[in-house]
Amino acid sequence: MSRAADLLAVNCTACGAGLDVLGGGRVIVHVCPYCGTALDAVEGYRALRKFNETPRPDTVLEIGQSGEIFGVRYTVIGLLQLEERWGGRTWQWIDYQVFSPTHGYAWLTFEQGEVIFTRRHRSDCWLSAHRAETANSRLSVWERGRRYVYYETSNSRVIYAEGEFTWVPRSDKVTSSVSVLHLAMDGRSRAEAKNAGPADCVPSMLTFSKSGMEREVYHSVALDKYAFAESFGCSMPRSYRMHPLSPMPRTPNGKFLIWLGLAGVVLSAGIGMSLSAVSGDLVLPGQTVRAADLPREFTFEVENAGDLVSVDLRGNGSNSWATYELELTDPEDQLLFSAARGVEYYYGREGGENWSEGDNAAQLKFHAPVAGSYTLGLYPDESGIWTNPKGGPAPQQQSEIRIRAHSGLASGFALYMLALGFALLAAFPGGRHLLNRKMRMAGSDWEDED
Amino acid sequence: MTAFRIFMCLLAAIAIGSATYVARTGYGGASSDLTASIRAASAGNALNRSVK
Repeated sequence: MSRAADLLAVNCTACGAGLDVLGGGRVIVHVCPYCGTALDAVEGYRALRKFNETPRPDTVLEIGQSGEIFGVRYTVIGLLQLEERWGGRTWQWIDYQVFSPTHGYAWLTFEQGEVIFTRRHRSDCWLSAHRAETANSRLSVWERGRRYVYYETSNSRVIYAEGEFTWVPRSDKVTSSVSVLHLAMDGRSRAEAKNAGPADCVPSMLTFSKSGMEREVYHSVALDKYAFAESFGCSMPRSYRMHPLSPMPRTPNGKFLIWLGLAGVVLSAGIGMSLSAVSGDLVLPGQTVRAADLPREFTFEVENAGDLVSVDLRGNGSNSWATYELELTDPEDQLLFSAARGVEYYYGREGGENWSEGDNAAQLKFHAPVAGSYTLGLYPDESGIWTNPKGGPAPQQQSEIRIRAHSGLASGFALYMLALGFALLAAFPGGRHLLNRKMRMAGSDWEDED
Repeated sequence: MTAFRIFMCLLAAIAIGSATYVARTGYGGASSDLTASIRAASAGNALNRSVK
């Protein structure tokens, strides 16, 4: 059953108001905006019931307004105000039914600063509200090669309607909708987004909608809101929250930044490690001193002011420790520092496994403020042995200390810091995507159970 | 290759070159406790010299 295709206007059979007929042959109900009576569009516009229970809401679009969507001219033929109540809170929004003589019927919704374009979608895919509610982990479905993850479930009912509809809106019917969201790894450039059709748009949402025995699947995408506002001659409501379907901006040169960052990490870390391995000039050849002969003084020459100097100490004990006081005086015999360093080494066997701790080595690294002859005093401090209560090898006292010094050393510190910077650069595109994804999913009603 | 990519490559090369130069001076390699002590001692020496 359908109404006459050449019908352009009718009078409301309840109040007599003139009503434009804009909606094509599949319209079955026309709700009069003046008196709120639902009229049967296929049977002589007879009055079915009084519909509206709330005052007319403020709307962004009016019935009869038209504009282009994806290059197709659509006209607004009806509007619905829907309401959802949950947990003491109420949400209300407006869906606009639009019609194109060539492309049929679709819906427009204004949410969080975006205009969402929704069409009926032919699909065998289905996700029920019951399955979504009882799932242990966030569900996902595959549809035409795209993975959609669970976003939200809503139970809504119509509280206001006006205009023409291809179905019968009823305020006493609750529609249960489960929405799933598809996000891509990267966004699209503006040119790509401009040329994309509704099926190519990313992100996109599928909604599995059930009202009584009727089941429908809807596909939703966000439109270019500026082009939409210009075409329809309307102003877009502003919002500072990100809608899950907001167009995903592509990270400019994303892959290039990843490769540059990774190459930088490898180069910086490689150069840093090779420079760290440079031993410099041996300014104090290795000398072994018996603990009994301490304190001792050692003299060495530093060729350039600012040179990095390393003094290495190595003990010879096991299951024992010793600390030493080191004092350095500069070429003018001024004390530069007095520092303590310890050497220790422990080992044993426990639970069938060998273990060890410490390596009998200690090091001092400093920048020599001036070139010249430096004197390092080595003083014994404290020492001791450790006896394993569970038995094992006998401790050996730290009876000797070996000392040597190198000058003109390099340090990989700056290069390691740079490698960290490059790693952040490489992580930037992925991190931006993850943050963007997190912001989109923030509105989801899914909660992971701990 | 876009100007941005050329710029980034140049920037990366300059950064690695600069960091290598800094690394060769041993920057960041000294023990922090010794650096502070030497800095204080050097400042004291400079003060003594200026007093003399």
